[in-house]
Parts: sequence; structure tokens; C-alpha cells
Amino acid sequence: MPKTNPDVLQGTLDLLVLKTLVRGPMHGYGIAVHIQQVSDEVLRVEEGSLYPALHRIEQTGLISSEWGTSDNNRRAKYYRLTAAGRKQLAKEEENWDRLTRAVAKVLRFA
Amino acid sequence: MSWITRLMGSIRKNKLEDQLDNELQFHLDMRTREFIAAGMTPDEARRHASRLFGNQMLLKENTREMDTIGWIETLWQDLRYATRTFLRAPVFSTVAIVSLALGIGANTAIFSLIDAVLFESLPVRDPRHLVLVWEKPSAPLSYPLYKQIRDRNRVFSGVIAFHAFSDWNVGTNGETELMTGQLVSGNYFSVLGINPAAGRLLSSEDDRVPGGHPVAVISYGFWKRKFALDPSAIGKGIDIFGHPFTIVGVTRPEFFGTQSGKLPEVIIPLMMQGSVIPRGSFLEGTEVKWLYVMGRLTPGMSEEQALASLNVLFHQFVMAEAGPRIAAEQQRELSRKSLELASGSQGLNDLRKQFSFPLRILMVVVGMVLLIACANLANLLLARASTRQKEIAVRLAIGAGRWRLVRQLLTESLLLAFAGGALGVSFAYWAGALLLRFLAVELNVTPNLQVLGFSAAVCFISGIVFGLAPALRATRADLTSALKQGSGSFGPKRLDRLLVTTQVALSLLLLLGATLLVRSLQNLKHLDAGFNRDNVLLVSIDPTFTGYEGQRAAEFYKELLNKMEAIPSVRSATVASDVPPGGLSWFQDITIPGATAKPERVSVNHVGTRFFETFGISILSGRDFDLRDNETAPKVIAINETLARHYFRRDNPVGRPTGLGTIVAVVKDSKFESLRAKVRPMVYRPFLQEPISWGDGKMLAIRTTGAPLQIAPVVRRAIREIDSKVPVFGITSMAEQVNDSLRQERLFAALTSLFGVLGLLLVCIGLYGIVGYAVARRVNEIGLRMALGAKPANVLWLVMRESLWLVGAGLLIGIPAALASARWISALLFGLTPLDPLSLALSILILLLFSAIAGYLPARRASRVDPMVALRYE
Repeated sequence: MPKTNPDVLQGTLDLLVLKTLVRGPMHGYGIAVHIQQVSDEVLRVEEGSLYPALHRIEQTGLISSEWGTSDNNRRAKYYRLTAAGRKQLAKEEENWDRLTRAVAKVLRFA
Repeated sequence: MSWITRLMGSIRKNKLEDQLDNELQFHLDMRTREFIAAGMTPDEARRHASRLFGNQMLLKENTREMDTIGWIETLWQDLRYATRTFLRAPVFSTVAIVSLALGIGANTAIFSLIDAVLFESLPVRDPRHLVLVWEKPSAPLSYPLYKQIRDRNRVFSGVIAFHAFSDWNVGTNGETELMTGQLVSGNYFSVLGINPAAGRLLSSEDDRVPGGHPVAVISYGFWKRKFALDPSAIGKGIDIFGHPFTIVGVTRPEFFGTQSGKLPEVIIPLMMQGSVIPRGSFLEGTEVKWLYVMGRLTPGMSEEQALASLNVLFHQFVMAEAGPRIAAEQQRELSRKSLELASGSQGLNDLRKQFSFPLRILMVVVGMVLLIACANLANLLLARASTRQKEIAVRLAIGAGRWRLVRQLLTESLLLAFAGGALGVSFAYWAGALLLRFLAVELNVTPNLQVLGFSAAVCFISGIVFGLAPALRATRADLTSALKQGSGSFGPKRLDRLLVTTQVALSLLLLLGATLLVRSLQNLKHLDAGFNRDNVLLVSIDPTFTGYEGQRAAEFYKELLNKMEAIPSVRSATVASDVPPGGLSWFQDITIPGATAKPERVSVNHVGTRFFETFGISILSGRDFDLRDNETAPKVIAINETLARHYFRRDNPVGRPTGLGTIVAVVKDSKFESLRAKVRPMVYRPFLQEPISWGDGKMLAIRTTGAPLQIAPVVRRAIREIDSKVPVFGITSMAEQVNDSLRQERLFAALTSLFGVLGLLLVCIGLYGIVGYAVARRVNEIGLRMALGAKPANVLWLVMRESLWLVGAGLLIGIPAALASARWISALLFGLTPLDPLSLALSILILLLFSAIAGYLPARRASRVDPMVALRYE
């Protein structure tokens, strides 16, 4: 991801992580791959930012973790969305919508 | 809550680390598989994947930070490391901790005294709203005035009155003992908000009828000592001066009454004044001013408002007392009288006046000792830091933050500081209690928050003070020179030098102070006080307490003196109303025809026959009082030198008449007030020539051939034989009494000497350490020099020169500083000026001597170095 304002960056990453987990529990690698693929390789999450973010979000209670077995029979830490996480996600999506619409309006104003 | 999870994370760190490793390893492996699938070789794939992770250490740390409380971990880490380091260097640690313990402990002890004397309020409810009502020039008021204030005021929620503490003969279970007692108003305890430990305390009901309430409240200590905390003591009887009283209650152990530093053991209602002060009733007329009055201001009432309202009341009272027909002049005078208010939150606090100055000086003294100790520690830590230079340089090189290292080093010094502090504080309480016992002061000095907070603050600040400089120095980013085996100049570097110089200067200050005070004490002890203090027994006695008066009292004393002189080892016996150095109690007006224009006030001492002989006061001209000078004979007096000089100059006063009697003798000056005070003009009169009235107790003085206290039991028996009810207030020897009067000086001299020696010791240890360390670092060079022909003496001189330099520089700063600050203690000195050259020379000499020894020892080691061994040393 391009290096911009770290707070916006952090917030956006959180949003993407939460959204990714809507589909079901996933480990860190899976989350990174998902975001990469769905955005057509435009958004690449750096490992250096992903794991601190995951652990941080877990401390806030929006996601929870447990150890499980991956497809290739390896042990991996899976993260899932909690109820509070779901509510927060809805709010964040709404905020993001408003933000982007506002930015678009300003840009369109010639 | 997330912080609990994070706290658990800090605690179960290892498990967390393993889990994180696994998590990241999984991700790494998956990426690797990805790259292999895209066509790379396994090695390439692995490398590529790793690179994606970037700095793994950093990543792990960042992630871990989310799961733990970071600073606790680093603190814990630092503490464990510091403890290990100190355990590995036991000598260094012990020296450091002990020096800190002494410095911090001393500070804590003195501070706890200061806190108790200067800051602590009375242990009563809400002391801030208490005010003392008094009338210039001295505090006590009369009973009718108190009643007026109590009943008609509009500013107080309660007004109490109490008499000063006095000594009473109290009989419990048949044994009589002298105890401190107090008369208080009935509402005393309720207004002060004090609760009993057992039974009940006095109430307003106990304050109605004069002589009608023989009830007493005793102190917890009394209850413990005489009744072993037996609850059936309530209701038992005791007698005070032979009058029966019933115990109704006990106060709590922390109760101290309204005079800090003293503790009343028996408290009885004001109405019972007649039992303990047999001189008529003080409860009627307004001439006797005997009550201290304190009031509790109603909420919201200011002192000014209260004072204004009270003065209105006071004027009404004064006018009413004066009666309807008074002259205008008198009226004017009366209207100028007024009441004053003073804060009552510390009760009647004489301790503050007496001790605040000495305590402040002591605080400065122990502060200096602490500074010296800290300087030592700083030097020690600097030396240690330079041995760890390589280790620190390596850590800096691999990326440790400088502040992180400084924090770790500071943690080490704080650990030392708090360890020393803990040791010091426990030693301080023990020492403080000892000090108080020595001063014969009763104070509530128990561990309290302020003192502990003060100690903690001192520990913390000391730790930072002596730890910061070494920590900063050690982590300077001058890596290359540190990584090589470096050696500096011969002898310590600039910072160390500065520290040692400062220590020497401070030590000189302390030594000078101590020397001055010790010499003052010696001066006082060997002063020619005008009397002979050896082999004199003093017995304080007052027959008027049991009703003797006038002629009967005179007969009592005569019989007493006869009995005394009959005792074998007694050389002579006499009585006196004043005894040196106990103070002066009697004053009368004297007129001397031809010398005084109007009556002048002089102190008068009523003495028996052979007074001057017994006290060893030389009679310069004239004769001693003898049996001729009784109540029927013409009045005679003796005067002291000062009075003679003052009024008669060079004429011989013997034979001259005065208003008080014909002068029959001039005697040498004696220090009656105190050893320090100047002698005042004094008149001696035969005690038989002044009628003896109530309260006119005397001191029986007996000169013995041997040790005076040995005949004490004989004397007691003799007094009992005459009348067993007469109270004996105390038996002591003159030598003891004089020594006692010097108690504060003795304590001071002892304490400052102790601290002076302590400071000196610390300086010597510091000097020894620094020079020794420098020598150890320069062993090569010494070997080289010796191999090239230097003799041991040269090397010795080379090393000693350094230490002498340092001490010299310290003295250069210290001497003017010492002379300037010695002025502050001039009030405590006697017979010396603060600039006393002998004391200064003595202090300098002591300092030089000890520091020379401290510097000599390592120098000697240096000169004994075997060149071959030294050259091979790396």
C-alpha cells in the first residue's frame, strides 16, 4: 500500500480486514491473499503491517482468534469476526461511503 | 478489558512468543509455496518470501507490543538484570547500599522529627478550626472571663478551658507516684472530638459544683502500667494529694492533650481545682489568670470576625468588672485592652520555638551527608561504567536505542537507591525514637505517609542524581575509542575530579560545624559557673501543698534542716527557692538610697543558712547568713557582684542599707538562669525573713562527703518522719541537673560530630576508590616507568600528587564556603566566634590527614608494582 497518512492507512486496513472476515474465519496469510486478489493486485498488504494490525484489532475485541488446521494440514491461527466486529464493520462501511462520496464531490467541482 | 489480557500477555511472555513464531512461520511457508509454484527454486523462493517480511525482529517486536504492556516488561527485565549484576559484585553493592542507607536514613530520621514538631497538628478532630484566645502579654485568662466567653459568645461551637500541666502526687493501690496532671473544663473532650478507650470521658455534667466532682480520666499508659489494662479499673479509686477521686474512663494511646511533647496522665474537672491547688478558689475572682481558653470556630466564621465579636464581649466584661464608678483615665486604659486569637491547631506548641532552628540546621547537615554519599556513588558508577564500556558499545552498535540503555542504567541506580533507602528507613525509625528519648520529649513519631513519601522521593532523586551522569557518559556514541582497550589520563577524568572536590568541600563544612559545636560544649562544661556542682544533692519539696504556711512552714524547714545535718555523710544542708542553673522565680523591687532613683526589679533568692557554703559560692566580702538572721531580727540581704558593680561601683556595699535589708555580704556571680545566659543582678535573703505562702516550694540542697545520690533514701525517710504527706517532687544531684541543662548542646555536638565523621569517611572511601581504580588502569604505564628507572618513591609521589591536588582544590572552595556558612550556627555557639581559627585549623588538619591516608594506600600499591608483571598486564 502506498505510504500515506498512517492513521488513514491504519483505518483502511482495519476495514479491509473486517470485511474479509465477513465471509468466515481466515488466517493471516489468507486475508492478505484475499485482499490482493480481489483488488486485482492493486492492494498488497505488507506483512509488517498486517500482523501488528491483527493483534491490535484482537485486543479491541472486534475479532477473536483460535488455532486450527489449514487446508494443507498445517497448524495456523484463524481469526473470526465477533458480533461487536460485525456492528463496527457496518459503521465503518458507512463512514467509508460518506468519505469517498464527499471526496468525489470535491474532485468533480472544477 | 484489553489491558488485563495484555497484562497476562506480559506475564506469559514465552508462550506468546512461541505462538507468534508459529503464526509467522506458517505465513512464510505459504508464501514460499507460492513462489515455488510460480517457478522459483526452493532456495530462491524462501529468500524472496523472507524478504517480504522485512526485518523480522522488528515485526515480531511490533506485534508483540500489541499483546503486552511494554514498559512493565522492560522494567522487569532491567530490574532482573540489575539485581544479577549487583549480586555478582557484592563488595561494591554492599558499600553502595550501606552508604546510601546511612545518608537516606539520616535524612528520614531528621525529617520525621521535623514533621512531628513543625507540621503535625494535634490528634484531635479538625484542628484547623481551633483557636487560642488570649490577652496580651500572656495567654491565661481568669475563670469568670472564660465563663463569659463560653456562655455568651456567638462565634464558637464550643469553648474549652484548661490549666497548664503540673506535677501531682497520685496514689494508686497504696503507692504514691509523681505524675503529670491537668485540670480541664467539662466539655474539653467533646469539643476536641476525642473518644475514650474505655469507660467515659468528662462531660459538662462534671463541671457544675466546685469540689463536687471527684472524677478522673487516666491516660492509656497509666492504665497499662498500674492496672494492666484491666477493665475493672473503671470505678476504682485513686487519690490525688490525698483527696479521693474515682476513675471514670481512659483515653486512647494516641491522645496527647493540648500541649505537644507532653502527655497528661490524670485529667480532672476544673471544679476540682481546690484539691490540687490548695490556695483558695481560683473559680471566683478575676485576679487569678490560670486558664488557657480555646474555641472551635463555627463553620464559615473567620478569625477576624470572631475576634471582633469577642472583643465586644470582652469590653463589656471588663467594664462590668471595673464597676460603675471609675475615672475616665482608667476607663480609657481599660478600653485599650483586647483579646487576641492564635491558631490552636498545634496546641500550645513550645517545641516548635525551641527546636525549629536546630532541626533546620540538622536537616541541612544530613542533606550534605547525603550529597557526599551520592557523589561517592556517582563516582563508583562511573568507574563501573567504564569497565562495561565495551559491552555498552557493542549494544549500541547492534542498534539499541541510547535512551533505552540510559533507562536501564538508571534502573540500576534507582534499584540501589531504593534498596539503600529501605534499609535506611528502618534504621531511621529506631534512631529517631532513640533521639526523642534522649531529648525527653514525647511525640507521636510513628510511620506516617508524609515521612515515607519524603523518603521515597529522596531515594528517587538520589538515584537519578548519582545515576544520570554516569549513564549519559557511558552511552556516549564514541564507539571506536571505547571498543579499543582505552586508557585515559592518569587519575580520574574531569567529572570525577569535580565530584571529589565538591565532596571534600562539603566534608570540610561538616567538620567545621562539628568542631565548633564540640568546642562550644566543652566551653560550657568547663565554664566557671560560680558554684561548685560536685557532691550536692537536690530535693524539690513543697510543704505548702499540704497546708503548711507562714510560721508552721518555717518550723517545718527548720526541723528538716536539723535532721539533715544530723546525717553522718552530710557536710552542710540548706534550702533555696532558686538553684543554678534552674532558672529564676522570684522578683522584688529594691530601692537603694543613693544609688537608685526609683524602685528597681531584681531577682531574689530566698535561702537558708550556710547557703553559700553548701553551693560553694565564694563570699567576696562580708559574712554568710546564720541563725541570727531569723524572722524577728533586722532584715539583711546579700548581693552578687553584678549588682554590686551596677549600683556601688568601687565602693564597699557591705553595711549599706537598702529597701529590702542591710547588705551583709557580696558574693561571687553564679549562673542561675542557665549556663549560657549572662548573670543578672541578684539579691539573696534569709528565707525566714519572708513569710512563706502557698506555692512557695523550695529546693533542699545537701552537700555530701561522698556520692550524693547514696543518701537519697535516708533523706526521703527523714522527710517522711516529719510529715509523710508532704510531697517530694524529685531528687537529683546538682551535677546531673547541670548536665541536663546542657542536654540540647550535648545532643547537637554528638549528632554533628557523627555526621561529620560519616561525611569524612565517605570522602575517604571515595578518594581511595577513585585513586585505586585509576592506578589499576594505569598499571602498564607504571611498569614502564619503573623499568625505565623510576624508583618506588617517585611512583608514590606521582600518585599522591593527584590526590593532594584534589583535596587542595576542595579546600580552596571549601574554606571560604565554610567560613561563610558557619555564621548560620553562631546562635548555637558559646565562647567562640564562627570564624574561630583554631576550629578551622583543626578541621582542615583532620581532613588532610585522613585524605592523605586514603590517597596513600593505593599509591603504596602502585609503588610496589613489579615492573615485569605490570608490563605483561593487558
